Amino acid sequence: MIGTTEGRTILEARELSRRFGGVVALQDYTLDLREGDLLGLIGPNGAGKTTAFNLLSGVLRPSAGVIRFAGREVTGWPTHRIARLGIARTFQNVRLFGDLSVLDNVMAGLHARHGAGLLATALALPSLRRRETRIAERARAALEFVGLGGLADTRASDLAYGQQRLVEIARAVATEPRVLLLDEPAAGMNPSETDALADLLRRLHGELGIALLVVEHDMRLVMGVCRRIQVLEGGRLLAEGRPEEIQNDPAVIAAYLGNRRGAEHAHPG
Amino acid sequence: MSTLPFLPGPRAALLVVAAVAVVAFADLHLSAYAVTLLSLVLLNVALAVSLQLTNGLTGLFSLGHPAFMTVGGYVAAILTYPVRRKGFMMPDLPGWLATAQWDLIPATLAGATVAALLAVIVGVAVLRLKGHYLAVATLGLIVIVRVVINNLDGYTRGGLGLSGVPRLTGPWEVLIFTLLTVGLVWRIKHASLGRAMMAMRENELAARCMGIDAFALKLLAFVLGAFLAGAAGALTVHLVSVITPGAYGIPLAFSLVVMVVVGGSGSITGAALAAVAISLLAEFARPLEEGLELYGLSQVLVALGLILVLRLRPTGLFGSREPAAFRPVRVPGVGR
Repeated sequence: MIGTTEGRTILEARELSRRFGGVVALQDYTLDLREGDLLGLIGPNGAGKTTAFNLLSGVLRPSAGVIRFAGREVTGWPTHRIARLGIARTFQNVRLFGDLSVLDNVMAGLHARHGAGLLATALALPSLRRRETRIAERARAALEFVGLGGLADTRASDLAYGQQRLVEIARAVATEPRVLLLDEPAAGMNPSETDALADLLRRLHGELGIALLVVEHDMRLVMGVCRRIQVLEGGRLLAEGRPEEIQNDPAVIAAYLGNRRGAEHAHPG
Repeated sequence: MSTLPFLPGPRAALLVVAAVAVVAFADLHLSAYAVTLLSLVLLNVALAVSLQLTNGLTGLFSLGHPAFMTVGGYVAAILTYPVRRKGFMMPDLPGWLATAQWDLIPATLAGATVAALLAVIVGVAVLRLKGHYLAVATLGLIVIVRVVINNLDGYTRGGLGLSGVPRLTGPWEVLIFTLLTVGLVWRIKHASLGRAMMAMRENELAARCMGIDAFALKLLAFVLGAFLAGAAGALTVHLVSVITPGAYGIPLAFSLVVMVVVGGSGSITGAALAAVAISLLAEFARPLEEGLELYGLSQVLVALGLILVLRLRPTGLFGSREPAAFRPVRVPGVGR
């Protein structure tokens, strides 16, 4: 059922708000991310997109509101427990484990689910061998999936910026998430890399069935890939709908696409 | 067929054989002084490598090793102390302790366990906080442990220290402990647990977002390091047969941190080599210090060495890695 939005709701937010002192970064944000969704989240800088991501991934606690994962309330859970439920994310400023190899970066992502404990490690029990082999296999598969199979032994911080973003995606994919939050995955990529990224997002969604929520400034990517789009402005949800609805929404055009470049997108042809 | 990454390669096995040969030679042919010196060097290797686990791999900044050594040393010494002398040396001991005279291994395990429990208390209190709280807390711990032992004189003889502790530790006990410590840290580093620790060191937020429980992992690294330091303290006391409240203090914490930094944060080989070099430097500088009446010369040299390394090679001799000869081979069958 690729491309439909008829699956069960997997990640849900209700009236989610976050204040920093007197500043309201996000106000009454509502999200219904369904299985098989590919949802774009756009808005000008400071609109609250990254704050929404930080709340949904448990990096920040909401000032008000509720987050549910597969029907279970997870508001205020510690970050690592949210992640273990199956919510993976990438970061606007790439956060790799710079001194580790590309493969070790991805393998580290598999620790929570597959890593051996202290006793098995200390005694080199058969379960350690089994788990290490499984971790290595899955990490290599994730790297192949994003097209970085040949760079497994390179130090992560030696990679080009666009490749680092792909390592982040591989690391997130390796955790076998049900939901993947991508924070500006195309930032710093050239047009051909962006095209490859669009293809990768479609495959993440189509082949792996991961529900995607994508924050992105590249309108061509967002409009081309996403099935639905949410628009944030000033911390509030301004509009939500299919790409063509968003492109023609007067409020969106006025608030966000109101420049010349945006106008071209808003009135194609 | 190559080995799995968490098992050191054949050249590392050669190194183990070489270490055994050196200890065997020293035990048979060298003076008691040389054997004790060798044992102390090996203990420093174990201490530096165990601190490498806490500070190098996990990215914590603990200065607590001397405190854990002191605790482990006193606990073990009280347990092994000859019963007939306990009465006047430690009058406040409860009956079961006053009549107990344990062997080295159970006493060492007990000392290490008490040190680890102390680390749990400190760790639970400060490891959830961000920043350098652990450095401050462990520095404080060194002072607190000294003051407490000074004042518990019915158990510890206070500032007089405990002398006449039975010499139960020989070079072989030390060698086995050091090999176990290095082997354990090596396995952790090259298995999932170590990757998770290094991930946390490199970027804690990203590690947490991948399901890594940062607090639990930090606590594990800190407590395990304390356990090993406690055991090292216990073994040292039974090697030199004496312990005083201030025997292991801030200068030792400094030396151990230097070994980790000079060797390269995260490098087991680096920490081990730096431990050997710095221990021997301190020993061989001693006659020079006495001859020239330049006491503290070795510490000055160590500090200068640290500045040089930080200036010329800030990541230490080996960075976070092991030299190519010992570097483990990747898992067979899944590689390219």
